[in-house]
Formats: sequence, C-alpha cells, structure tokens
Amino acid sequence: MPRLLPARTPAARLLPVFLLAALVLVGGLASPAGAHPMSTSAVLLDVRDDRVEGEVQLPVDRLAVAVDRPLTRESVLGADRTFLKRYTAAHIAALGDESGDRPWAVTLGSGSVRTIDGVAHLVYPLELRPPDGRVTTFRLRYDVIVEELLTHKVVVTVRYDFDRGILKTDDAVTLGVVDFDTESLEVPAGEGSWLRGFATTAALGIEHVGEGADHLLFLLMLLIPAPLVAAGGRWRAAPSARCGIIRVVHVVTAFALGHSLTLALAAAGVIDLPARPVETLIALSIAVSAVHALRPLVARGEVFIATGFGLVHGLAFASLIGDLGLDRGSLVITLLGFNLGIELTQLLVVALMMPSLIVLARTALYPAFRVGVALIGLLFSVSWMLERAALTSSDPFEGIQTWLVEHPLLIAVTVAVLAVVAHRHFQRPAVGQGDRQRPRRAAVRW
Amino acid sequence: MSTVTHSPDASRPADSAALGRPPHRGRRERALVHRAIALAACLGLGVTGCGSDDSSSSSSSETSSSQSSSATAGTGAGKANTAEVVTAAEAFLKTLSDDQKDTALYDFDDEAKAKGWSNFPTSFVERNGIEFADLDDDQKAAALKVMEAALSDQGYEELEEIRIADAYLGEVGSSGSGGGPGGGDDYSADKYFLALFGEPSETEQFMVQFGGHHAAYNITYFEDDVSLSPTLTAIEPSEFETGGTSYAPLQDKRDTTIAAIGSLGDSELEKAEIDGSFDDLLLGPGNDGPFPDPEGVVVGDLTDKQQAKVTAMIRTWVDDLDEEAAEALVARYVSEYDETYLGWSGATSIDDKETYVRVDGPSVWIEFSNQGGIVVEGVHQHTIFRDQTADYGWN
Repeated sequence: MPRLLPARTPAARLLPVFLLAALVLVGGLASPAGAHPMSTSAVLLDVRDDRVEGEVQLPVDRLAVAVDRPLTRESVLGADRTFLKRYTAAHIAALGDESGDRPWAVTLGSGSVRTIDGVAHLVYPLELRPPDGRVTTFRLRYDVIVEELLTHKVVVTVRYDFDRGILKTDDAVTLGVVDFDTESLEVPAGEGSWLRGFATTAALGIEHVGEGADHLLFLLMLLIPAPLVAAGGRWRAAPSARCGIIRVVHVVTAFALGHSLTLALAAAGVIDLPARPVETLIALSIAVSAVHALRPLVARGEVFIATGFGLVHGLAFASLIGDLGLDRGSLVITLLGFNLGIELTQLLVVALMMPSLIVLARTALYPAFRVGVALIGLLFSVSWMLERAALTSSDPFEGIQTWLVEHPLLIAVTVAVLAVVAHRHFQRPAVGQGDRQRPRRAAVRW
Repeated sequence: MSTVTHSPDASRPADSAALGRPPHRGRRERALVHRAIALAACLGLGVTGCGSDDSSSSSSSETSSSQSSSATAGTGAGKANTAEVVTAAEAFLKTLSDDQKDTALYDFDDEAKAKGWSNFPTSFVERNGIEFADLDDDQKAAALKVMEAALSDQGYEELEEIRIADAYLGEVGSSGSGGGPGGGDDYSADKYFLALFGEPSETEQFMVQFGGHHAAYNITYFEDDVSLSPTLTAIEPSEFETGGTSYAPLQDKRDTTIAAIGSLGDSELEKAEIDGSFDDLLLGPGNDGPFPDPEGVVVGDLTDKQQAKVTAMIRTWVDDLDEEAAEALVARYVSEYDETYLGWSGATSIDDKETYVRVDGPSVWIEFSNQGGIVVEGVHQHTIFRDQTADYGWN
C-alpha cells in the first residue's frame, strides 16, 4: 500500500479551521457528543402566546446523506426545493398536552442558505400553531436527517419565551439534543409569568448600564460638577452639601426623563434611527459633558446636557430592546422593567460616588481631581467618537475601559479613600474663603 | 475549568451572529469577552454538566438491566493479570505527591468516569486524572508502566504510536499559520491523562482510565476479570511518516475489518446492511447507549472461513489487552457467534468516508466508522470497543 504522506501546507491551514469548528461545536452542544466536529442541525424556538415561531437549520452536506441525493447550495433552493421542503415538513410534528390528539399545524417558510459555523445550512422559518390558539407545553417530534443519519445530532434551543424570562439576547436556553435515541422533546411553554419577564428585563437594564462604559462615564461626567456651582465661567465649591445633593437629583431625574421618552418611542416603533450615529452621538455627549466639567458651558448645564443626551441614550437602549424579539403584549412590561434596571443602576452609581465627591469638592484637591477625571473622560469619548464614526479602526483604550467597568467597587473605594485623605490633609486654604462668597450668591439663583 | 457548575443553559454561538445585533462597536469587545466566557462555560458544561441530561445517565441503567438476562452478570472471562496491574498502579501512585494523588484518584462510582474521555482535543473536553505534561520523567515512566502492564505488547505499541500520531498532528498544526485557537499545541504525546477509579485492588473493582486525543482506554479489573469497555482508538492520517519512521497504528484494525466484511457474498452483504447512515460512532464518547437492536448477518450462520475473519477482526481490538485475558475474552465472544451480528452501512472499502462496520453480540460491540479527513486529506477513522456485559465494569 502506498504511503499516504499528507500535504503539510493545506493541513496546516485547515487545522485552525478544524479547531475553531470544534470549539464552536463543543460550545454549542449540550453534551460532549463524542464526535469530531461536524455539521449539526439546530432548531430554534420562539414561544409566543398563540404560536411558536422559529427556525430549522439543516447542514446541506448531512441533508444530502439523509435524502441520498447530491445537494449543493444552489440545488437546495432550485431543483430540490420542493422535495426538501416536503421532506422536512414531514419529519416535524408538535402535539400539545392540552390539545388532545389534534396535532399542531406545522408550517415551513421559504428556505434560504446560510453559512453557520463555516458550513452551508438550509434554513427554514418554522411556525407551529396549536389548534386551540393557545400555546401550552408541547412535545416536539423531530427526526429530519436523524431518521436516516443515525449519528446526527439536533440541538433544540428556546430562543424566546418572555414568561420564562428567556429573551432573544445572546443566551438562548438549550432544551436538549435530538439523536437516534431521542425522537421527541418536551418544550415547556405557558409556564412562568410576566413577572419573570419583568425581572429579566430589569436585570438586563442593570447589566446594560453596569457594563456600559459609555453610559457610566457620561453619568460620572455629569456628577463631577454637580457639587459645584458655576460662577464667572469657572467652577466654585457649592455653599452646602445639600445644594450638591439637590443638583444630583436634578441631573439623574433629567437623564431618566430623557432616555425614558426616547426608549418608549423607539420601542413602540415611532422613531427608528440607525445604531451607528446614535453611538457616535453618545460619545459626543460624553465629550460635551467632560468639557462642561472642565469649564461650565452654561448655567445648570449638566441638567440640560442630561436631558438632551438622555434622549440619545434612550435610543441606544431601544436598539437593545429591539433585539429581544418582543411581543407587543410584553412591550410595556419590558419597558418598565428595563427602565427600572437602568434607574436602579444609576442610583447605585450615585450612591457609591456622590458622598465621596461631595466631601472631595470641599477640599483643595478637587480642582485637580475634577480636571484629571474630565480629561480622561474627554480622551475616552474622543477615541470612541473616532472609532464609532469609523475614522479609526479600533479604540486604544478599550482594555482600560473594560478593566474600569469590571472593578466598580475598587474605583468607588479609591475615590472614597481619596476623599477621606483630602478631607483630613487638604482642607481648603484661607483664600478659598473668598471663593465661597461668590458661590453662595450663585447658589441663590437655584 | 476545574470547577464547573451544572446548568442547562448553553448558547449556540452561531445564533448570536444570526440575531443581527447593531454595530455597538464600543461594546463589541465586551460582548466578545462575555461570549468567550460563555463559551468557556459551555465547554465546561460539555465536559461535566450536560452529559447527565442526555442519554448517558438514563441509558446506563437500561443497559445494565438489559444485560442481566443475556450473560452471567458480574463476571468476565477471567485470566486477568490483576496483580501485575495493581502493583504497577501502586508503584505509580507512590511517585505522586498528595495533591497529585488527589487529582489522579477517583471513587469507583464517580460520575466523571463516563464523561472525562473523548476524541476531541483535550483542550475542548477535559479529561479525568493527571496529565503527562504535569509529571516528571520518573512519574511519567511509572504511568506508562501501568499501561504496559494492562496492555499486550502490541496494544502498548499501538498506544505509543497513537501518541506519536498526536505529536505529528501537533507538528502539522504549529508548522503552519499557527494563528488558530490553540493551534498545533492542542495535540501532543504529553496531552495524555491517567486516572484511577477506585483504589487498585485484587479484590475490589477499580478502573484504569487512560487517554488523550485519539485514544481512550477504560480498563476495569475485578478479581481475575478484566473489561476494556469502552475503549476508543482512532486515527488521522491513517499512515504518516515522522522522524524517518513510518507509522500506521490502526492498520491491523483497518485490514481485519475490511477483510471480515469483504468475505461476505452478495446476498450476505445484502442481509448485513444496517438501516440508516453513520458519519461517526453511534455509541462513542458521551453516548453510552442504549445498545440498539442487533442488525446484520448472524456470524454463526457464516462459513468457518468467514467466521475466522470475524474472529480476526474482533481479536485486533481485544488483543490490545494483556495476552492471556484477551484470549479468554475472544473465546467467549466466539462462543456467542449464534447471537452475534456483523453489519455494515454506507460502504465497505477501507478509505471510503461512508464506510461503517459493526459487530454486535450479546457481549461484544465494535464500531468502525470512517468520515472525511479533518486535518489532512483522506479519511478519519474512529473505532470503539465495548463489552455490553461490562461497560465501565460490572454492576
């Protein structure tokens, strides 16, 4: 027998591909599945009140083995189109717990070919309708490909079920794997309640703000000048802590009102802006508020900035809500939950930062602190703006930002320690007394 | 990935792309980090968690119940060199520190047993036990002595050659672009693991579990019985040359399998065809049953000459085990030929990627499955050996 010496160069090129495929496959499968990376089918389900929608993804090469025909990307949508649709539909069925013997209507949409994990898949939109128009727990019978190719695996995933707190975010819930031994799976539906959905969207709001360096930075930029008052184009210490707190409340409320308004409008489909300009505008909002923190732009500027850019941030939140694939019915609950999460996170940030800032603001250290932080904010926001406007290809500060966002407590504690040290050792010098007169007058304007 | 929590959640990474998120460029890096963490978690789940959701846990009880009727439950064919393996295993354990011992030793009933072996690269499916890369030369030698005691001369040679094959794949991988995730480093002769389930003993059950990428041995001893079920051996490429030497570790299994199925006449071939197609092992890693209804041609109905070819085929798997025990097991499997089936699907030639051959008796279960080459051109072969009466030992 001749020695089959493998060609090294193509092999070397293929290995990363294979590894990637394996990584994706192992990551995607609910079990080690004990196989080498190869094409796997997927069924994605969106559970709604009166129907289950979704998608069936069939790897073309495995489908060819199953139906014993040579198939290509072109032929599955051409000569074999009718045959394959009939074959696929014949191997999917749904039967509800409460619908007796009456099977659900199974409808496949128009097929298309998509490359998933580097492999061509024939993709059908799927719709399952219960005979009584009410979705309850049902049994999905599925043996497309598996009925012939016994070593094939089908990953079944619930992508959306509001009442169970499953939203169309990155984390769909894998229900199980259909293989030669498992011909059907029970799909839990009609369980849970709107509260689960509400809690999930609130958590999403918390996560979104808590992990969004841009939203946090914007908030911080607005908070820095809050314990101060503008006088003569310069920042001065506010006469009292109370004054600072009132201004913080104004800022947070203004921001909340702004973003709630656009969030609701965008989620309801009244306004629809492309994401990129919105993202760029958000970066601009940080830059503007950073400049404002350096030198007051207008009196009570941070309240106006908070309102105006609140509107912009609301649009960005809305783009996330738009990804969740919501029913109209759950939209209001989602909006409320999401907003609640956002507000809670903001209040937490305020509660963590504000006491320290108010103490710091009454020390001689504050101007340096304020200018330093504002300059960092300006630097980050300009970098974001350039990147989001596609003027630069990457953001050099991404690493630092990620680190900062991942260590919020460390930052809060650092600022608190700084505040204590400053309070003890850097009391405002006597000349500061003169400064305090003018702010008092300015504060009267409030 | 040593501590992984079990959760039914697992994302299919492809879908996040399909969701069509808007270009949140500032957040993209973060999303990637999250996805990487999620993926890492999924890998962990794949290893430890979700296996219990599917067939493996439920089926193990089914298989054991179905077995009790078919064979003298709880006994093997005897002739095991248990004392020799116990001595080697104890000597190996003596070379380990307490921490290392903790890593290498498991309870006999530990659920990890069925999950910590695979034919995936070791970075994707975490293996049980202690890794060769973490052993010094003396410890490594002691670990190999355990396998040398457990396996026959030719079985041990095959294991060494499969390790060389892994090292070769590693070379092939890292000599190229190398930029892939893990690169060629994912394959190495040192990415092999040894675990002991149960204390080595001449009176109690214990298992030597040894494996890496393309070899996984689960060898259970109970007094003078031994079972090498399940044991996976696989290869790609089927033949290769490295360091001036040519290797073909699975050549005997390839040859005898094709000879056995090739000895069938047209009508026998027709009878032997198994329903369905296979592009991998049916009962491979992560899938421990149930064993399907037997299909194929009854070996007992074949001529002596044909039966001899089937025996030769079975022997190339069982022969990996220490010689005397292997002979006893082969004799037992031969005695069950009236209820043993030889089947095939797809194709019957050695380098056809459709080729699938199976031997299914009351005890013996062998699958030989070709698929398309993954790293290099040609075919990629997976084989599994099981004893249906002694999968993971005896209950």
